[in-house]
Amino acid sequence: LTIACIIAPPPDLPKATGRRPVIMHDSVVPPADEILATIPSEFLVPVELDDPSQPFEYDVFIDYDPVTQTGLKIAPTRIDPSTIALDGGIFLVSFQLDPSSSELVSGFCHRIELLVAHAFNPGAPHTPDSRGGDSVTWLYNGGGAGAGCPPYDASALGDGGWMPQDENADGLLVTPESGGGP
Amino acid sequence: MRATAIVCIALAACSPVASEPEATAVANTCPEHACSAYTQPGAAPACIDGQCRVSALLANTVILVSLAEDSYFAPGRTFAVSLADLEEGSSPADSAGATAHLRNLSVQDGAYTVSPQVQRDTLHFPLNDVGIATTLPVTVTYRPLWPLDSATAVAEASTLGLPLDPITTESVVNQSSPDPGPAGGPSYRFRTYLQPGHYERTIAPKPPLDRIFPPDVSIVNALPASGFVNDLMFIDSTKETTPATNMVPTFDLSRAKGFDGWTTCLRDQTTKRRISNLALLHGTTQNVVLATNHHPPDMDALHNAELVMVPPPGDKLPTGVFAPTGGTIGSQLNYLPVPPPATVTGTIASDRGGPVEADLVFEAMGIYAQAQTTQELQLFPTSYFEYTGQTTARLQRGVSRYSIQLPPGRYRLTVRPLPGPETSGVYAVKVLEAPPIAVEPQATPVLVPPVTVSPQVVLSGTATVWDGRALPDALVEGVPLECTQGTLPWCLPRWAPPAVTNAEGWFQLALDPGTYAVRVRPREGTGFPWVTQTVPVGLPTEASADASSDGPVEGSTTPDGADGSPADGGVAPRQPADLKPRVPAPVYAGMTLLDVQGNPIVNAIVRAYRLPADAGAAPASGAPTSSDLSAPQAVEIGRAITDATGHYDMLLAP
Repeated sequence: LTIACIIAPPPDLPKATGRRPVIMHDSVVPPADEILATIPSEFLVPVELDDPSQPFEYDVFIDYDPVTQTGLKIAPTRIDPSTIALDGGIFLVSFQLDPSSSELVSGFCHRIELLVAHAFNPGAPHTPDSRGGDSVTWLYNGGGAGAGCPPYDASALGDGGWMPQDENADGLLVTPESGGGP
Repeated sequence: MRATAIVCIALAACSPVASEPEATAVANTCPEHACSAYTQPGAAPACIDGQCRVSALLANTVILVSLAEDSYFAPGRTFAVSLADLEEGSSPADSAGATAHLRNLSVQDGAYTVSPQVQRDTLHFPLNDVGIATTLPVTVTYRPLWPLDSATAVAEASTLGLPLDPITTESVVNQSSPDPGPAGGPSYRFRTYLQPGHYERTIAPKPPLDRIFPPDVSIVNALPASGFVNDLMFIDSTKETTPATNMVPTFDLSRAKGFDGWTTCLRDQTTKRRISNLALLHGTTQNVVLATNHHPPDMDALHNAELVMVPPPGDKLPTGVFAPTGGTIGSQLNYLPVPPPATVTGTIASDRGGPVEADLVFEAMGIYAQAQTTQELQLFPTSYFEYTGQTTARLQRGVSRYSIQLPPGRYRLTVRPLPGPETSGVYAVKVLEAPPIAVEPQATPVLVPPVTVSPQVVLSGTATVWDGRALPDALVEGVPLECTQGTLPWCLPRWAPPAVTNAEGWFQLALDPGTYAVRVRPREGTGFPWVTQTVPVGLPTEASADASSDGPVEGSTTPDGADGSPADGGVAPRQPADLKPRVPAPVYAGMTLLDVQGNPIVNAIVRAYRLPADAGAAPASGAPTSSDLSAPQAVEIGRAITDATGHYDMLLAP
């Protein structure tokens, strides 16, 4: 009996390094696959955390310039979710943008980017630390049309696209709803 | 000796493990915290599933369900359903909430088709040589009305504060249609899907066809069904004709200095949205046809319409505005001569004298023009001219300066200070309109007296739970209500950076003057609901209505968490008072959402909004703890995301 009590318990498993926070891209509001004609009252981004107690950071860029590393609109903001705070490890990040701000001049295409990471590199808020990060990008054109923005893949039902039958080679490519060829 | 050592080791190994320190967050748990301690008005809380909850009907609550892009049902669409309707059509609730089905979609399918008669006889613009109906490429916009399912819906949902953005779609080539496109080309049709309900639909021909053919504006009831609607163009005529033969509105426009590069159209007087074709102007006089197709209730093409003459971009000239409703067709509309623009300069500084960079907007309250009868310069109100100029005051050699060219007149100046390294802290928005900025003709340059801005109003308060506990770690936001009206391109007041309550529940917010919903969001998972309180901040009192005063802006709130109306029934008090929001035991409003075929609505963001019972009305008495109904627009009161079964938990204030 004494010998049994002496036996040391197995050592703890090494603690796994936390994984990067992941954006649930399909649940982002407003959807990121359309060119925004107006700035919504609020952007909502669900972030899935591997460990609900793990803090993470997010920041927002408008027209990030990788040469000058400018365009930061919302500085890295730390979120400290508690274990009781998250249902299924999903945290809803929300932020607002002022459509009249000088960065969102009407008539031009703008790129709004939200990044999440365990932490960002000091002095380089567009670069996550070694655990990696995730991002979602919206294209905004205050003129109301897609002029100036890169073309996007228009699904047949999603944006009113009509399945072409004999589309000529110069026409816009339309993805058939069924996924099959025209 | 050996046995003693073994016993010591065994004792150490079997000693209790020290527990982790408990989180300091205050939570709604029972029976640890007795539900009887909640002294909130209304139904008494009871301990249900380990939380103190109450049973109550949630009036004026709207649920917005934003479906995921990979959803099987209505991907990317946002459904808006009143909570009462959602519960009415749901299965009986259990402790996990009810199960409700979203309604089937309405597939909108149509084309903008112009008949040969409209082409040739009405608009004198044949689209093909063979004289047949022709479809045009268009952009279609559906603006949700509220209530969506009511035929009496009169307000756009967005104006009520519901984040229901317009749904737009583009027509595409459809070679199976019998009606060709312009010049005998391929046909155009549009198709999209919507939540069933009432919408304002605008079908706008794309440039350059928009110069001849007007947008089709109508209220449509999108039914849960699909079907092609060939919306044959109907051009409105006017009854204001002499002799009494209906005709398309036609105007004779003139400007002594010429119209090259100018455009004109009719627009709705209320929404300011274009309702006619966009005609290009040239020469000094021009006869223009401005057709509408906006299904006016009295079949008058000029119903609630106004004509605008718009100068080329970059010209420092005001837009001419004419309200021809009740006038006669073919009337002479003359753009009166306007004196040349003047250069306006000035500086912006803080109340301590330091420079403050800022965005500025000058909105015309009156414009000088040469009267037709007397040939003298006269100040015309904005019902004849409108002009808005924007500039930014930037730091130059230690002073924040601006310069802008404006047509002579009277202007309201709005100053929106910018945060930046040059300024310590954020300064409040300032509006100068009484007296307005005077820009006299031939007075160049105009030097505006220095504008002084003050720090934002600091609002503080203490958040508690109705059982007496302080509420630490809660997010407190100032949600601006009621965008400034007029031609101002900004929505004021601005969103304030949120604050977090400390261990005693204390918080502090810096706000612009205006009306806010101060919203307290207890930390997620604590089991407490969000609460809001309408707070007017720094509104002028009767004694201090001089908006040109450079004195500091003062906060005004209602005492002790009341409804937001002034305590004395008159104007708002000037002295800031501490807010004391109290968080009640919530109502459980979780639910399981399914589509029409019974599939779960997965990973959808669900938001709850409380609509005002009656805008401007006082809230129900005795309900200071909940999201009050006195807010002039909808305010978000809860948020969740559905799981793999379509279920979400939501706790709302009663």
